[in-house]
Formats: sequence, C-alpha cells, structure tokens
Amino acid sequence: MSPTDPQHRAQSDFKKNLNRLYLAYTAGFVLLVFAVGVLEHWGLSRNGIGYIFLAATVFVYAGIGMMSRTSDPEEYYAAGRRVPPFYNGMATGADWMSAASFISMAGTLYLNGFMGLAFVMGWTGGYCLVALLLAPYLRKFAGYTIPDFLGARYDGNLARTIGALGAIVCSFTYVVAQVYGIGLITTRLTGMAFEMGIFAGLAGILVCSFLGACGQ
Amino acid sequence: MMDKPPAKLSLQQQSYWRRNVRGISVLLSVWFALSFGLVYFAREMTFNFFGWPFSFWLGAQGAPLSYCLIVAVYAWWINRIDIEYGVDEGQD
Repeated sequence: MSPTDPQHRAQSDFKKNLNRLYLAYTAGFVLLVFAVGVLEHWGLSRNGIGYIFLAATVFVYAGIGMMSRTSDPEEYYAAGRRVPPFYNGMATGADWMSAASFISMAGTLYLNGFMGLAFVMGWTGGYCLVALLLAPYLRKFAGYTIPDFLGARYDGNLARTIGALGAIVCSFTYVVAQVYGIGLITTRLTGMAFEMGIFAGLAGILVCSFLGACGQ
Repeated sequence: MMDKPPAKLSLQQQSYWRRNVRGISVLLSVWFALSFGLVYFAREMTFNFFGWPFSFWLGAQGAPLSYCLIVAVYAWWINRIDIEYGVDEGQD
C-alpha cells in the first residue's frame, strides 16, 4: 500500500484517533484514582470508594459500548480487524488480568503452594500452542471461533464438535471462577450480599455488551 | 486427513509450508522439553537460583518467560519468512 491511497490514510487516521482515545482514557483513569485518593483523605468511607469505582467502571464500559456501537458482526467481534497489533496485544494482556488471575490464582498458590504453579505453567504454556498452531490460521481464515475454523479446516462436523466441546469445557471452568470473582468483587466494593453482588455484577456486564451491539 | 484432495499447491507454497512446520517443530520441542522434560526432574533441581530453589523459580517465572520468548521468536521468525515469500501483511 502506498502512503497516499485512501485506505491507508483511513487506517492512519483511525490509529491517530485510537492513540488520542487511549491517552484520554489513561489520563482520566489517573485523575479518577487521584480524585478518589483526595476524597479518601477527606474522610470518604471504604464503601463509598467501592461504589465510585464500580459505577465509574460500568459507565466507562457503557460509554465505550455506545461510542462504538455496531450491528455488523465483523465490527462487533473483531473491531473490523483494524486495531493495530500493539493495541491488540494490550487487549490480550488486559484479558489475562482477570478476576480469575488476580483472585483465584493468588488463592490457589496460597492454598497449594508449589503445586499451584502447575496452573501458571499450564495456561502460559497453552498459550504457546494457541499462538503457534491456531492463531495465525484463525486470523487468515477470518472467522471468529476456533470450532468454526476446525470445522472448515478438517471439513466436517466431527472436528467442529470436538472443538466446541473443548471450548465449552474450558470456558465453563473459567466462567465459573470468573463469575464467582465478580460476585466477590462486587460484594467487597459495595457491601451487598454475595447473592445480590453476583447479579449486580453480571447485569453490569450484560448492559455493557448489549450497548455495543444495538442496531444503529 | 481431508476427504477432498487438497488444492494443488505451488512449489513456493510447499516450501513455505515446510519451513513453517520445521520452525514450529523446533519451537514446540523446546516447549515440550521445558514443560514435560524438566518438570519431571523438579525434585532433583533444588540448587539455589537467586535465592530460590531452581525448580520453584522455573515454575513461577522461568517457564512463563520462556513461553513468552517462544511466542516472540515465532512471531519474529515467521514475519521474516512471510516477507521473504512476499505474503506479509505489511506494518500497520
């Protein structure tokens, strides 16, 4: 692509805009932390801090969802495949730092000690398999899910079913830990009962992902 | 493997794929030796490594860092091959 063709220019504009947004977001986050710190110094209770952080997070996600709302699956799942590699890397990193990593991992290591390291090695080592054997081809294939890719690659529903079963088993264990973590965090931050905390947290996630998906 | 006969690949595509598979095999051998070979001897490797027993350090930091390195090496290497065969996607 020559630097003058319109597609290239659109991509470069998109990237510049993305840089600005990320910078604004980072500055906003630092300001929020600073503001909450000042409020705490003036005697804001721990529950108050919790509510502020929770509300701010949900509003920011909702805002991002509304700003980039779309009805096109290519846009919804893969952001139109225009996100530069560096930002995609940051998104993957952010995915990594989930409730499961922060809460469950710390707990597992505390509980099991040496043996808990099997999880650290297991999921980091598994990443090698994904990166070397699946990810490049999934990207070229331009699908959204691994079962889709396996189904097309091995030409049949058997491979697709095995892939889907694997995905379900993995995500089920992961989502259980994640949802439990959401409940714990919401409970900690707001002082709600645990049962309510889970629903409040999940409702927040649901609202945010729907806001990004409503038709234009 | 596939029921349908695969589409004819050009010599260049075959050579690209052979090199890709060879590279992946080398990296995954390292991966395997690290994940399943070394771990098997974890009990014996208790010598001091920066203040930690070596096997503990390996599980906590050494192995994850090596995994990241494997992915990075693969990305760097396959990018070069892509450029050599003219199938790279360019920098964006």
